[in-house]
Amino acid sequence: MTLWHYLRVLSVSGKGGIRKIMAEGLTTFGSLFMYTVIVFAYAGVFRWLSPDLLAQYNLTYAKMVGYVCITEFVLFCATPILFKEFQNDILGDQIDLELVRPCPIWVVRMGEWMGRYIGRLMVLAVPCYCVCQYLTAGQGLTLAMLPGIVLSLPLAGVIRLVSHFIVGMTCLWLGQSEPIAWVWQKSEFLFGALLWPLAFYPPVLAKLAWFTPFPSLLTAPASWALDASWQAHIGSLSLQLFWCVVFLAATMVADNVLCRHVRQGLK
Amino acid sequence: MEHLATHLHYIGTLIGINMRAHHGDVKRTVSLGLAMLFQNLMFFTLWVIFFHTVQQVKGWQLADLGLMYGTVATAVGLTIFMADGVRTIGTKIQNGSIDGLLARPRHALLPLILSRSNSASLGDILSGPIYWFLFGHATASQIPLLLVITVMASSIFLSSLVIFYSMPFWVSNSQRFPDQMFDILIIFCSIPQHAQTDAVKVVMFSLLPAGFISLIPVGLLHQFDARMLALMMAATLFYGVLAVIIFNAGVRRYVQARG
Repeated sequence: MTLWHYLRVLSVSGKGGIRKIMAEGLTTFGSLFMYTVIVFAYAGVFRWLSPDLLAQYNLTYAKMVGYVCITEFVLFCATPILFKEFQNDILGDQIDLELVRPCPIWVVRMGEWMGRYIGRLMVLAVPCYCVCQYLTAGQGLTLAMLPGIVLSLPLAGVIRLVSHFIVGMTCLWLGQSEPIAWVWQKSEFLFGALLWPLAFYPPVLAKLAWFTPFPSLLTAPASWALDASWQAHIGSLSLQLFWCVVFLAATMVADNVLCRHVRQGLK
Repeated sequence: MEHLATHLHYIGTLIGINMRAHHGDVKRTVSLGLAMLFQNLMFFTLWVIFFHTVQQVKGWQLADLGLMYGTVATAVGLTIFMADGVRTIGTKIQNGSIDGLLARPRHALLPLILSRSNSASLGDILSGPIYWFLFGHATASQIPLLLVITVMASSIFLSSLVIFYSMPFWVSNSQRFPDQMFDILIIFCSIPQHAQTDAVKVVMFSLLPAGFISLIPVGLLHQFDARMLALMMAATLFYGVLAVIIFNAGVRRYVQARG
């Protein structure tokens, strides 16, 4: 298969993913409700932080809320159930049918998942933006920040979705992927600084976090809400691109391993 | 009295059958439990970092959050370990497998909720004492109160889940929505609620009773107040009765629709 064929498969799978999201009315409403509850609740906590304390870290209430709005938005666009769906397909023999296709499993999966990610992004973007602006009286996310956020979100999505593929595959060796998925997710939260910026972290821990892929998932897109310098933004975009390449390469290797396992009847 | 003894024997039998599911694969039960415990502690580290920087939020410090997390983790863990079948109500309604339970002479709700046990929630139950005693600085003298409020919080949590997962009686193809409400309730319970606005507090003492599951227990552990304890008992009874009423109404609707 040529690159053109891969892109065609990605495009067709992606459209299928978007259609799936468009059909999930109540689920999408539930996601929006959950997002609103979470952001409102954390904004309620941030309201009580002293402005002087926040100023020490070059932060304000509006920046804190804008930050958590973006990190939570990334999580809601790439829901964690994807690894479970993949695991169930592997354990339930659905994966055997996917081997018959002329296209690698990871291309079809990533296409569909990316379609679902973009579908949720399109459906949730405006309501979530409105929630953020309501909580911050319009100070949270300015229009100038949006192009950077829009550039960063798909990269974060690729890294997250690819990690779901690899995590879901661990069921081949462990029987089920949940333990790895939970630890991976909590690593995303902790080292990706889900709830408050890395500025709050002890310096050693903050430095350590940047050696992991997790800040590229959450911190990088959310840093656009913090008025960081252009050099910092270019640095985090470059880091996101780096991890995208690393994870995509890892996925191709993982795909080969999966196919070998399935063909040899090892699962 | 004899009726009560029979009923208790029935519940004990259901629980015994439920727990036997773990005998077949103890290694899996233990590994899932430990993974859950580890991930809970990882998440709590976020709050440790927060309070290391911020020190306090409207008077609450890390110890208060430790007490809150201990209560929530133990209550949720207890519910899901004993009664994870509650999360299958929606699926059984959709695929019709609830019919077998409705045909029995006893009420269908108990065997439904006691039909499944989740191994991972052992990790939640184990997290509780760590949060209470290591981070929350609870004392041994508080153990009886901790147990009482945990049982009540667990009951309120279970009642809420019965209400959420009964939704498919009225709205078809809505299995995912109760799961989302389940996640929302847990998340809501895990965020400092004393700092919320009045509008949010109204929600957390009504539609999403997170206030009864986490805020009031922390208040009781700080300063025992008989009125607050009575309020929590009343809430436990209220949500329990409401859950049964809603479930029964759903069953009536389901049976009528089936003709």
